[in-house]
Amino acid sequence: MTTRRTLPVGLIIGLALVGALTVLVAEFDAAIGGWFGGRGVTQNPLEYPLVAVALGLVANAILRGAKAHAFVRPGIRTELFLKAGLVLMAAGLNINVIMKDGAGGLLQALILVTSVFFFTWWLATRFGVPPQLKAVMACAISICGVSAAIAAAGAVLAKKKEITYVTALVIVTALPLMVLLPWIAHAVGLSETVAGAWFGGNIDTTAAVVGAGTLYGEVAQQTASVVKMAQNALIGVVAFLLATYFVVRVERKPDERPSAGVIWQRFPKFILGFVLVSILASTGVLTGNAVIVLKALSKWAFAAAFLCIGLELSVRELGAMGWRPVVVYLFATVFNTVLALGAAWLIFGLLGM
Amino acid sequence: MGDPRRVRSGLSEDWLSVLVGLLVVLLVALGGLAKVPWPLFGWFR
Repeated sequence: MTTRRTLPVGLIIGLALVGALTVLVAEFDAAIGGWFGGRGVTQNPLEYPLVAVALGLVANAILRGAKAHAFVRPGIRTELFLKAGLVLMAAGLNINVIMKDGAGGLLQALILVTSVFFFTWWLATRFGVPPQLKAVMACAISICGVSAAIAAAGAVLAKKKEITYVTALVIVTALPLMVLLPWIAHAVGLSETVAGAWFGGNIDTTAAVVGAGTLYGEVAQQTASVVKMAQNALIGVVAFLLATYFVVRVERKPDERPSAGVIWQRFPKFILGFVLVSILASTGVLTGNAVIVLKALSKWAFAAAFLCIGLELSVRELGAMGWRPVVVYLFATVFNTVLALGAAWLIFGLLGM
Repeated sequence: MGDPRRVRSGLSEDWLSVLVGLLVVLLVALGGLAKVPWPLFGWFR
């Protein structure tokens, strides 16, 4: 009886705490963005997930110290925030706009996503990286960083420490690339279009892509954004394929035949919501202000999810994951950088798409 | 996200996220949420 009475209170207070802390994350994000804005970078390249996890870790330590962690735990709903955020994020994936504005971007995205995904997968297998972490890393590097990592993590049911690990790698790697790539592009004399396509195809966070484009010029920024958007459009397809692969192959018991019922039972249902909202956006049901609001709300949900990850995370577990994933990530990033330069030069330079 | 020991049993959480997401989309599409002049939508741009 006691448990029944206390659980809803813990849930309500826990949710309120997560809500209040998420507002704090937003304020920090705005302050950091303002600092970068004063230095000519239009978006916060540090991105809010890192701020959210850090704040969650601090709150985690305080709650455990005060012996209140177990009480608010029912309100720490990482999975709910993450998957609801993914459903909302699909509102920003309008296939028609991408096809109209960036056929070249879509072609480059298909080449890069396929090549980089399988290269990372192969390399991670050689280094003995676990399947779920491998999937999250391959998606993050080949598609578009944090959003793709989140979608892949949902599709393959990755552990919290795995998504935090990859998110930190994505953000830390994107920062130097944001400065380094425009500098190299200047040095070798790339046109703004080719340089923009290179930035968009290679740098893993949208903010850093826009930042690199801004440093190089207006045309570079526009091209980089279109190419990035084209890569983002592939998130749903890859998440769907990954979820199916994990259900049918990776998680299948040796003596189990994957019947349609088993596949349906294990299949992550949020992908259905994701596909539905993406169709609504692509068919013009969701337009203009609604899309802007839904994208903002998806970021709120993701910020709450990363905060919850921090609230439950053990730093010791994170450190125990070792150096191998870092090596794989860095090699795959170098591969992505070289291939993206070649693809951008061919598609946007030589073919003039 | 997945606890290492947990099998895919979180169906309710999975469906709940779809329902919450679609409900929010519906509210925004009908104009309800988008018209609220909160600073909410200005953050995380």
